[in-house]
Amino acid sequence: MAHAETAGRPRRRPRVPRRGGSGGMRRLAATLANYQSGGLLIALLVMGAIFTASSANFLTHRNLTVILLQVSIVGILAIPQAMLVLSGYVDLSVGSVAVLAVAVFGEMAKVHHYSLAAAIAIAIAVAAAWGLMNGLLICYLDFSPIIVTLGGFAGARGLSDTITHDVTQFGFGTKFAWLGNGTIATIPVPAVIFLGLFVIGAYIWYEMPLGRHLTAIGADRVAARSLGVSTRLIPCVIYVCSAIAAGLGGLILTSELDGASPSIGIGLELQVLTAVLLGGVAFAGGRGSLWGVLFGILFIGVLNNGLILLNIGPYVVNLAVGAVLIAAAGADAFYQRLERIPVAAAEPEGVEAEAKAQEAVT
Amino acid sequence: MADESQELDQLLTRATDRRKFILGAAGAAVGLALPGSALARLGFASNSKTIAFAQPDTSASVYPLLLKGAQQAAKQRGYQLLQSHANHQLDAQVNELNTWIGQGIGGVIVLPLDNNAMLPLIKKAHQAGVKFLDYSDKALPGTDGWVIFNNLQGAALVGADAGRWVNRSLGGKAKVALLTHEIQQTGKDRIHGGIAALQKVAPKAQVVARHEGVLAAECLTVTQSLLQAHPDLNVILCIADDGALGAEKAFMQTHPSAARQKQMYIGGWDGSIPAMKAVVSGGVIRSTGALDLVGIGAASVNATANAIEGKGSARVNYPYVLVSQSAAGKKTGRKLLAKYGA
Repeated sequence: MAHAETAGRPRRRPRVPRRGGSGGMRRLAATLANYQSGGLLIALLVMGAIFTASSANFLTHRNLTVILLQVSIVGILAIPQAMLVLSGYVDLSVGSVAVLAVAVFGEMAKVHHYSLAAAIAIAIAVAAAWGLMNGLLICYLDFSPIIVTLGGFAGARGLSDTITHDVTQFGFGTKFAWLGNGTIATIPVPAVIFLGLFVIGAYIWYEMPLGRHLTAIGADRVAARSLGVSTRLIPCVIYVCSAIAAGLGGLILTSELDGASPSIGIGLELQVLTAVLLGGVAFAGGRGSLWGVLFGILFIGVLNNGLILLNIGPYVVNLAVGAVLIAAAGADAFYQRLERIPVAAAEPEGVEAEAKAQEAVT
Repeated sequence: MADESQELDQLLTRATDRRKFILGAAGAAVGLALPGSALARLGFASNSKTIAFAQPDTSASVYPLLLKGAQQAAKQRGYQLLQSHANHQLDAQVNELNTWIGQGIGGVIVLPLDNNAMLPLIKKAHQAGVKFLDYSDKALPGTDGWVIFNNLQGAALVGADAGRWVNRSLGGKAKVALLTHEIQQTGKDRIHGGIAALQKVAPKAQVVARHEGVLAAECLTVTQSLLQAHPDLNVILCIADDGALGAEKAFMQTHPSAARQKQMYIGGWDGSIPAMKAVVSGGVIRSTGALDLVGIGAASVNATANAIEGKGSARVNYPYVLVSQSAAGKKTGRKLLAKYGA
């Protein structure tokens, strides 16, 4: 995945004469530069080191498992969201679609006594239908993605309130509890789902033409269309995927809580968007890295977990979160600036040898 | 020249006729399309038989029960009931109160998100002839009535029960975590009052963590991390039952042994159905400071109606009751659950 940035195309760096000295550090910087959001990765590592030094409970298998579990839902939603943002769109309705799926699931399972499988299928189908509506309105009728999904943000939650009358259905049994509380080889099931989806997402992003098409649509839709890219169908399908991911995330949280609470999903869209933007996906589209998004998701998860371990009081916790996020964004911007400085060590070994040979000849 | 001016006159006349026709047709269409209730909503009918029930957090698990009581009372008294859409946002609450006051409804009863922000609205309501009541932990100055539940009294009930449990089960020593909502007075009263009462009964109980958390989903993640920092935690006091349910799930995710479960006490406030069921069934949620939510909803509407009609009391004090795992506490819980039809 070293050729991560801008969907598979490595950036060419200008060749400059090597001045010698500190080659190891430069080579390391160049390797990290191949990953967009390398600055965020460094910030994540530094923050992890600080928490490790401050709390004996941070770097333990159990705590790392808890962090993985906690970031899973945001992560599941962030993968299609990142693809949407990359292609110049956005979905602000994910939190509300999540609670809509939860409401439908609760009603089907507890009020209409459908089987678990049927209730899950109906809930996911309703979420997918909402995503399809978003996709058709935005991609085929050219409605504004922000307005349509803001409408969904209010509308889907309103529909879920109408369905539930704000009553929490609870007690879904041990089979359903496995989805949120079970483990596979000591890894929580939600984390396994997230990591599985990340692998699929990364394959699409970096290895398939679809990944390049998403970047092309985000960079210049008209040009992409003239090159034969499906500029309407692709984002429409991603909207459906985003809504399905939202429904799945809502159901996982319902399983964890054993309750279809109407408060599920409040603020989820903001967490997802924060992770995506922090991960370096440009809000205007056309640039971004799924690895960066992964680092963004982990960064927020580690930060929240670490602040609780350090028992930062309720009065300063939001201040601390804001300050660290701005610092991370600053570090990332600084790193990207460094990235643009010509570094001779980034050249392939063959080029270096060639230069040396030329030097020897002259 | 004369011909030109005649043509212009004719054109203007035709244009005016067209405008009149379009306006007339539009007016007729609106008149035919709007039924009486819609006209009433637009303010053409009297609003004095309307009460606004401004409970700002409609997604809280207590809301359906409050609303049930309010709707029953409104129906009995012949009032139309308006609901809040503030979703726990102060600016949205102020906006909707201004709207209702502007409509000249009979009265409003509000759970204030900020007591000070209500003072100008009380004046504005009085100028518009709208009765303004508060439903909260204390009476605001200048209101026409109130439904008060004493949060400090409720805090003392849960805190003292937790203290007695610490003495009985852990020999007086315990590690305590608090899930609070410091921005709201209710949060401060419940948590600060609760821990004061706990430490009065069990002075060796030590607060090891204090974090923000109200709703189930956020308390789930906060407690997951808390239990990593303090795996031997004994008591978690949550500002609301919703959060207590999230904390319980986080604790159960650690797959605690039966012995470990006996060393955990989770307490909350509100008396929501899932929390009371959990207490009565004997799990680690061991208490909730319960309010008769259906009763409070009904009392809110009745007090407002009394203030509008100028007869009967518009001042109601509603006490908390303790639902716990003692025989009396379980009996109280079962009684409330039966009342809620759960």
